[in-house]
Amino acid sequence: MRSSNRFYGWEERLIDGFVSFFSRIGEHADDTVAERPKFVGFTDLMEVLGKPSCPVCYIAHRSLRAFLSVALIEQLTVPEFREPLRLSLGYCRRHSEYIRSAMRNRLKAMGVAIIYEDLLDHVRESLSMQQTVPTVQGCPLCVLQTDIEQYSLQLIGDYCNDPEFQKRYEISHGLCFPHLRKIVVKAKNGRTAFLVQAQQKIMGKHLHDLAEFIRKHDYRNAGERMSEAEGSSWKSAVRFLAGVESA
Amino acid sequence: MSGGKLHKQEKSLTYHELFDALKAKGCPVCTVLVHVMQAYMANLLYENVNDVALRERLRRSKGFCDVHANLLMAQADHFGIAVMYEDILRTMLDDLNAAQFRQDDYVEECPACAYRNEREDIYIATLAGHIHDGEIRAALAASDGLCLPHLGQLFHRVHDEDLRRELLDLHASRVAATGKDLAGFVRKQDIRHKDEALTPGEQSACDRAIDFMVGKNV
Repeated sequence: MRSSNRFYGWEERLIDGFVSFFSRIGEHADDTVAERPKFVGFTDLMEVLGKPSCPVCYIAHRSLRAFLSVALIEQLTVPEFREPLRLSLGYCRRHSEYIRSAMRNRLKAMGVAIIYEDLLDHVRESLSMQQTVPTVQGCPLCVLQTDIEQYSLQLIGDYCNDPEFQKRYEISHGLCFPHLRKIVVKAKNGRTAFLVQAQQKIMGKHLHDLAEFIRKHDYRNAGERMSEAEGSSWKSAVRFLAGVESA
Repeated sequence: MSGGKLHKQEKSLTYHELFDALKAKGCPVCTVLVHVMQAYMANLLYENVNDVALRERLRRSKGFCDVHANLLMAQADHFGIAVMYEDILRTMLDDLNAAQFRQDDYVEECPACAYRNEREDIYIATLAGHIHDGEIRAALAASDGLCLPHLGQLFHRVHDEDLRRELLDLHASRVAATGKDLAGFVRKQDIRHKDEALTPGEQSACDRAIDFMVGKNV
């Protein structure tokens, strides 16, 4: 059971829906693929596999952006949203970048200003009254991102032997290295064999493009036209290994 | 370290870097770290792409972390990046099926993170070592102050109670000023005050508040 103050509103209902669905899947862990229920999460996953990004990174970043879009406007007076922020003194360095992006919208910028005014007041009180530098606890967006990634990885783990999923996965960008490693480390023996095999093909493609990119930088091959994939192969390789979303 | 021993040291290059950074906007340690990491990446691509030790390290860390990968991708030398990452991917390809892939130590710490942390520690130690100097104290008093993470690190290295109080009071006043600007920003979003122009301080208040709380993402 999750703690009551970590999630709220639509986010809580969404996560609870996932939990309920996955617990149902767990009951049929040894069933054949054809018997597994396919819900909106599966359809979404199939759609996301068409994006030029790791599906888990994509879903996590999209969810965080969506969450902040709502929270910075509609959840400002919700204690369950504000209290964890007081403990964490705002978001961590990585997730503060989301806040900076959100600030391009005037309404969200006001939300950010309201939140940080309160946090600065809290810090000022610690510095001047308590004569100490306040310590920071875990970032709420890190917790949310970890949970969303875990659900997405579980979804992929459960459907990785589904023929429809496999067909789509083989032509996708595949998982980034950090997420691939997470799913392989957690999976039971042989369950993710398809993912590893498909990833080897995807990495082989990356390598081929990189080799061509390097070869065509040689003056003897400078006249050969570079494909789009070869031209961006260095970027794809960096993103693949670091788990950086390309969108 | 309370600065007792370092106080008597000569002023190093690090000291002068910090002293210059104190004249710029924002946390001086963050400002120096931004320059240091940009120079690290530029230097890496300019002359260290074929450095055996660094390449070995990158093989073990599987490239850079997400923050430093973004910094790397912002550099102009794409060829150097391609050479390094082709090597990393090639060495990894056979590992996917191996038991080694599942081990905890399969991925080592990002070399850029290690370098950043090492430099950060040196800058904080330098600041703590020279915090008794009138020159650096005056510069710090005239500056925007440190971000909260660096203030915390410096605070733990300074043991002189008067200095500690001075540091806290200085930063409390900076925080109060940013808070006041944020309040002004919020007030002027109200329809009743929409005709009042935002001051430069109010315009940058949100960015300054985030910078103060977490520092620069380098």
